[in-house]
Amino acid sequence: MNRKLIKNIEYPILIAIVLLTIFSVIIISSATHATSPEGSFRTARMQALWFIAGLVAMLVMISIDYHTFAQWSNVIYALNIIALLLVMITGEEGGGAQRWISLGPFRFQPSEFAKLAVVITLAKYLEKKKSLDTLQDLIAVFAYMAIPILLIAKQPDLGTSLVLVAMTFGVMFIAGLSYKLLASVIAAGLLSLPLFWQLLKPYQKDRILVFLNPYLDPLGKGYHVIQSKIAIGSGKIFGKGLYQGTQSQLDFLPVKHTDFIFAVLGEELGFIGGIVLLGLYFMLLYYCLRVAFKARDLLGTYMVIGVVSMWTFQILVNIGMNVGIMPVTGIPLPFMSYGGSSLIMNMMATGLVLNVGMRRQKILF
Amino acid sequence: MWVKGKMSVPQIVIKRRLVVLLLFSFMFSFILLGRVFWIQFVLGDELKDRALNQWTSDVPIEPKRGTIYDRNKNPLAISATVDTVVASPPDIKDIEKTASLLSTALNLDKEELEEKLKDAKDKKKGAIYIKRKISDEESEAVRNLNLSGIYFTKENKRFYPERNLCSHVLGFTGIDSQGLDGIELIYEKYLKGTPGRIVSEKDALSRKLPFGIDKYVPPEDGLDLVLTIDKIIQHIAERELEKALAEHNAKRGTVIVMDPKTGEILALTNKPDYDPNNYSEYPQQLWRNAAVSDVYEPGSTFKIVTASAALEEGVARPEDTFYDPGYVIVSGVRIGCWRHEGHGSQTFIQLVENSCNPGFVDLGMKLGKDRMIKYIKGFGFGETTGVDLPGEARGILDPSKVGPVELATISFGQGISVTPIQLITALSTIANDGKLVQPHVAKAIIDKDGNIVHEFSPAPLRQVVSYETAQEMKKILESVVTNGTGGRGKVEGYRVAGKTGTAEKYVPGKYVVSYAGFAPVDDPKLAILVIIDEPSGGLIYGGTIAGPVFQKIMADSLNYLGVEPQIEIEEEEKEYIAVPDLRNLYIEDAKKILFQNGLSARVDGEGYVVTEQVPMPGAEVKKNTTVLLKVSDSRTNKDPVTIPDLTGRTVKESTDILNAIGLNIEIVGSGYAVKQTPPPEVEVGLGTTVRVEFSQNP
Repeated sequence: MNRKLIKNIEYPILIAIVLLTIFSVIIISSATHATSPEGSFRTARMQALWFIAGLVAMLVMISIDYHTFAQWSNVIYALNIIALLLVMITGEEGGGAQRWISLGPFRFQPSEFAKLAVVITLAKYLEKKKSLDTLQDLIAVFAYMAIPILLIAKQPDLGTSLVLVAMTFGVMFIAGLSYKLLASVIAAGLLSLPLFWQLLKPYQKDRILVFLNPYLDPLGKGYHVIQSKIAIGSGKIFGKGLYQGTQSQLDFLPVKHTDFIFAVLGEELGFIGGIVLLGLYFMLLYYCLRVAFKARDLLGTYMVIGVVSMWTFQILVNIGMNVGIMPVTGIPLPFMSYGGSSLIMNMMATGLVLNVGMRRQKILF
Repeated sequence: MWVKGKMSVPQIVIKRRLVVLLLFSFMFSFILLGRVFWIQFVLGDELKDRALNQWTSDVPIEPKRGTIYDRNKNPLAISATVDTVVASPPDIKDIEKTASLLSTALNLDKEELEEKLKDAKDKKKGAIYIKRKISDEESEAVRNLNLSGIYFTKENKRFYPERNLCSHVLGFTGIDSQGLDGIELIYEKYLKGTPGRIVSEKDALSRKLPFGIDKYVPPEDGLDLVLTIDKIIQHIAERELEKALAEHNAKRGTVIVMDPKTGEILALTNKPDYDPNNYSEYPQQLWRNAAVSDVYEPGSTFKIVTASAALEEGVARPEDTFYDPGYVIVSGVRIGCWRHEGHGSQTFIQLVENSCNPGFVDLGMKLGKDRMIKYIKGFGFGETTGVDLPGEARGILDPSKVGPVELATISFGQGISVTPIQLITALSTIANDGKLVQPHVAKAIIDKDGNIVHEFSPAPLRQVVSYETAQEMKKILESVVTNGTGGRGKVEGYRVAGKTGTAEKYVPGKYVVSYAGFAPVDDPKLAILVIIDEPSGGLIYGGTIAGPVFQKIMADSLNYLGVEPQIEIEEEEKEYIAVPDLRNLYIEDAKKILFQNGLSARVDGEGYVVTEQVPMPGAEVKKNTTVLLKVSDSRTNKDPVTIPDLTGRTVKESTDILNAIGLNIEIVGSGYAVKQTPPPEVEVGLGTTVRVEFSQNP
């Protein structure tokens, strides 16, 4: 790799993700009682390991020009569909859904990598598409996106398929989707809500009802949200101190090292911890948008926007669910929630963003 | 510039939209932060408490409730420690088996118990009660089962060792040892104590944390309470009231015994009553303490108030004469006397003695409404006495509704409703030289070592009538007992003041009869009120039904208290005694006769037979006068002869005695005299032979 390219790396993005991951490892160690007599740092160590693996994956992503990815777009699209179909056929169950695929000693979640595949293929598709002014254009985009989204929704992983929908809209918005069209899509969406409701699985309906009123079932489906709010609320300004949160240490908080990691942070590090975390996210997103702004071509802008839309949506929904303003969906908090597939994919996405940023100059040599 | 051919999206649009996206992400970060702020600082304290509550399990330890004693430290309510079975659902391994074994040991429904345990386990409850306050046998049975997840805690159960005795004063406690009625309720805060706690950390499944903090805060036991009640007097009162109710087939009755000088209630009972050990098995109306909660028409006992007011205000003096034609007409309404033909001319004292209604109407009229109301209120009617028992009624007295006719009827105790406790308090005012006392049943609060923590000795509330008026009233009420309608309240050996009362209920033919009085008059120790509701048959007057109950309770109680009888009354009656004829009697028999007559003897000379006596037989002498007896062995020839009592005499003595009074002896056996024929005191002819049996072992 050439020195000029390295000089063009947006270092604040790198700094942000390194800090976020350090944050993540610490909070995960607390959430998994690493300091208790019987506890261990195994989970926290794993997350650190994933980060290193992610760094390697990121370097790979950086080293290949993003235009090359665009050229392979159709292959990536096809591989993505195959992987998702494989999950349906041979996938292993986990948490009530078929999301996992075993690859030797590793298990990974194709739906996580599907996000990245969609970022690349969608950018390429929209770059070619050029116009987004008519309903037909819109339908064409959705027809292209429908296969991965539906396959993921079928697993069922409603959260990830919603992330994909959000990404599609995010990129289309930047690609100049007319406001009029956007408004009519939103209106149509609202009108089709009752129909959509009918299609939901009972547990999905319950989640939404309980989101509207967690005390409907305080020990059952509302339990997560109530416990999470109690945890955050009892943290106050400086929190109870690391490893001191009673809600998280005594297992009142469910899935606290993955989906509810923000509540652990809120309880143990308080409002200050929350500000720091959101500050880091804002820093990450701001510099990504800068890259999108300065990108050499539309393809680069679209790719970066795809990644930004994905993270923005995930942060909004995950923290929103932790603080009780969003329904409970299994959407992880980028860089924070424990999970190898998720972390590696996010690192690769970061690599893609850095890739676009590095190659912003039109004349390379 | 963008690469040609890709100009469909102008750069300016993209840049504008990127800024929109940036603003959007900034905005939502802000919203999320705002929400975190809201949860932490607005909902924060509440949520913090909730976190603390979830995380510590707090097992309360019941304190031991204080004992209630009577005034002599006899226990009336005690707490004993018994076992309560508790289950910790997370620790139970086999719910079905546990439920089955427990239901047999504790006599519970198996399905219900199983359901309860399952439900508790599902809801992640830390502990539930299986059965509270079980017997020793049940406890033993459960212990032997040795089940996991089944524990015992100590709880206190209240026992009332005297059962029904004093139930309306004591009240009772509920399953959580909380006072529900009576003294148990009123002095709850002293008796209850402070619960202790075992605080332990636990996790979301209510499992005790192995390294959680265990803090033991010991409970603080309740304080003991000493009542003014005297168990013996209470018992006497209940016994006599029950007897009277049975005898007159009455519906119910109330007795209050009070120390008129202090307001201490020595006994308070309503019959029928209940056993506070199993209060729930009795109908609720029996829990009602009629002595303080129910009102009745006092009838003539209320005349004490009218008479006192009349004396105090000077509208009547004891010697004033009244004329009773048998009725009086007030505002066109004819009010008759209980004695149809009237009492004719009578003094004020006789007026009270006769309990003459028209006379009292006259007094009421002379006092007028304002002064009458002033004294009625002064004696404590129309407001609660403040006795430390729950549910006290105020009685019914509405001055605005008192017209001339009402004033007239109130003057003799009708048309007004009072509580028994109000009436005895008013009566005590007279006994207590005109000072109104505060009735109360609690004497002191003491700690476990018997140290007095607080003593209840309320000061007299006010001077209702002057000392002089009170003395005059005492005298008048005493003469009501000695000369008037209250005769049935007479107590042998004591000076008693009292007043009867009879009031017809709104249902014709049904009466409330009462008797209120105190004794001894010169230094009143006890004031007693007896009320019998709806006696049936015979002469229904307060004096005839309630009077004897009063008399028996008063006599037994004064005797029990060791109040010296004032025998002056008897002495005056029996001042002079006729000296009996003692001549020619065996000297020991003569002494016995004198002693029996309240006289004493002095013996002059030697011998077995009285030959002369001074004074002579038939002479009237004062009690304890000494009679001089001259004795000798010279035989007098008086005929017939009274056989002397020879018991315990030797053969020689017996022979000498019999010979001295002119009789012969037939000796059987030897030693000391044990039997004689004819027996002593029989008169026989001179020279009769008396057969005396002797024995070595008398």
